[in-house]
Amino acid sequence: MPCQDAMIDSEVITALPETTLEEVIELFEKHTIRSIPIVNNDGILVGLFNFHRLLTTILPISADNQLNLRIMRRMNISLDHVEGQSGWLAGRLKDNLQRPIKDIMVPNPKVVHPDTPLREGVRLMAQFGSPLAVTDEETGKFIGLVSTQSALKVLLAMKTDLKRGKPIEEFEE
Amino acid sequence: MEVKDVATAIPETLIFDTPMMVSAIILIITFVGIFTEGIHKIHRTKVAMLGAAAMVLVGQRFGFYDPELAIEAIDWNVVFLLGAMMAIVAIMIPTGGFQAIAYSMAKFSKGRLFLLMAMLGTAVTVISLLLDNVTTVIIFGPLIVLICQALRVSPIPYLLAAALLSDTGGVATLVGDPPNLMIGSAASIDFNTFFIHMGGIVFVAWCATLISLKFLFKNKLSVKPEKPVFDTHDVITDKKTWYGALAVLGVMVILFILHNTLHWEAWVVAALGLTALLFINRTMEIDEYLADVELSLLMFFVSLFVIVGGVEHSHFLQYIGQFIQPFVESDIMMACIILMWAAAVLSAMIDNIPFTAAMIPIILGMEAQGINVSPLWWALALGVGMGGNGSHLGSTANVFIVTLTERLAKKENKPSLAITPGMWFKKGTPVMVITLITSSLIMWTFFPFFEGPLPK
Repeated sequence: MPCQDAMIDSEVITALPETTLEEVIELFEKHTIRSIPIVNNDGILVGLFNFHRLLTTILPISADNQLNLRIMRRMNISLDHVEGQSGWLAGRLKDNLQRPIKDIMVPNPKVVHPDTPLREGVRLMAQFGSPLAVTDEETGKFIGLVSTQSALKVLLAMKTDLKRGKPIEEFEE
Repeated sequence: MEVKDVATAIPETLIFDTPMMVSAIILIITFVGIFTEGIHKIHRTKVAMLGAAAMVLVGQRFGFYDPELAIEAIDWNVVFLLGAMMAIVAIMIPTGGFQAIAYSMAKFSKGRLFLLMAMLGTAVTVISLLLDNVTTVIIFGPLIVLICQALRVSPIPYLLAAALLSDTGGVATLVGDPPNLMIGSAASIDFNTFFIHMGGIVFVAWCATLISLKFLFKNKLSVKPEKPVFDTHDVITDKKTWYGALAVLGVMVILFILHNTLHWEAWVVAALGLTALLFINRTMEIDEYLADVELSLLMFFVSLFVIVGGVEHSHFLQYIGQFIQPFVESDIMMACIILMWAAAVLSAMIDNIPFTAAMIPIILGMEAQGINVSPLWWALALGVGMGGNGSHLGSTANVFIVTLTERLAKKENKPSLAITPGMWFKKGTPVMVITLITSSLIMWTFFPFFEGPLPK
């Protein structure tokens, strides 16, 4: 089964790189989504912004685990021991609301192409998290998303087919 | 092909020959490759490994070096000591002990910013007297940023203070900085002799650094911070390991002091300390901690020793040394001061480890000619140590601090939070000059003390 068969059926909400964080959060709320592909005017995927990225954005650098330093990850710096008027969350959210999403998105996210086998898509989702963007191999244009929901839908369909006695060999992977 | 161990039998006057030329070419190309890492983006360890491979193969072809001599050229004391110390600190990191130290100081300073700077600087220095200052700065850097964000003050003065003070302080002990270890190991200088000669001079230079920072950051240190509450209760999550590690480090200091009497090289103390620490918490996952040992840095050292060993066996560095020798003999004190400043300027511009590795055989060559080189060792240690403060690239700790502030500036969308090369030139370079002037004056005043022969 290729990844295009596991994509979200409905239209995917996207945002332009200049969209502010505030507008993106509003899109999250309005469409009940937790991630959004960032696509430029030519329809090319330039990044991804999700709830996890929102959390790391509003955490201070010492605690966001984004420095990619093993020592820092093992220090596991807690925010439980500093109290005061610093406004760790509200203040930091306010400071970031008007920033364009291109400054804080995940740039160059992992992508698959429509004909990439789903097993590879599942591997990438397991490693890098959901959702997984699907782009055109040649142009880089954004096509769709494999999300937690759409992947689960495929797995549920598989389960039903297996219960009905469909032989494993007939599942084209 | 038979290889002669020519390093032990140096002729009176050396003539430039083919082995010298090929070893010099390999040395120069490798060093240029290491120092231009920022341009070609090939990791310095890879460049050093390539240089080491070339030296062994070419050396064997020209009859001045072979794999057996290459293994002998590696100073395993340095490699094992660094490796063991890295593993020890890796065990201490997840315990929360370092966080507890930082938060206690923030709590004690009660918003008095210079006091906070002095306390954090002292903590980083004291720890880097025993542990590598790069690791110390990597541990304290993010904690300093967090404390400063809570106080709503710029972290730049405190981060710079951590890098500059730990770099300066690290010069004081045999194990405080990799170049010290290389010098101590090559010249058979024990922990006590090193500390007796360097402790006082470094203390004065350290105080000069702190006072300089107070003036350089006069405005930033006079702002009124917020008054957050630092809760130091239960910050240490693994008390058994943390306090056990502190006890082991305490015993290690005693053993370092006694290591010469015990006829142990310094690495034995570190290895014993690591072994003891691994038994304090018997459920410790050894692989997890050993994974934090920076093998690339150790490999860099091994490769450098192999390269410099080849140059040594070709007698090229001794050949260079014979041109310096008459000058050193005529005015040893001036030679020391010039060596100190030249080493500092070069260390500020390039990596001080390869520079130290290249200087050691030159000085050893002069020693073999009967010159009293003791003051040159101290001058070299001071120069390469203090020189690290001279630029944002002067030491790995500086590079980490600069990278941290660049990421912070990007994250906070405040470019003013980044330490730029220009800012380092304004704040760090004057500190290097002040510490060098201080060191030069002390060395000049007490030269007979530094000139005294080393206990063997």
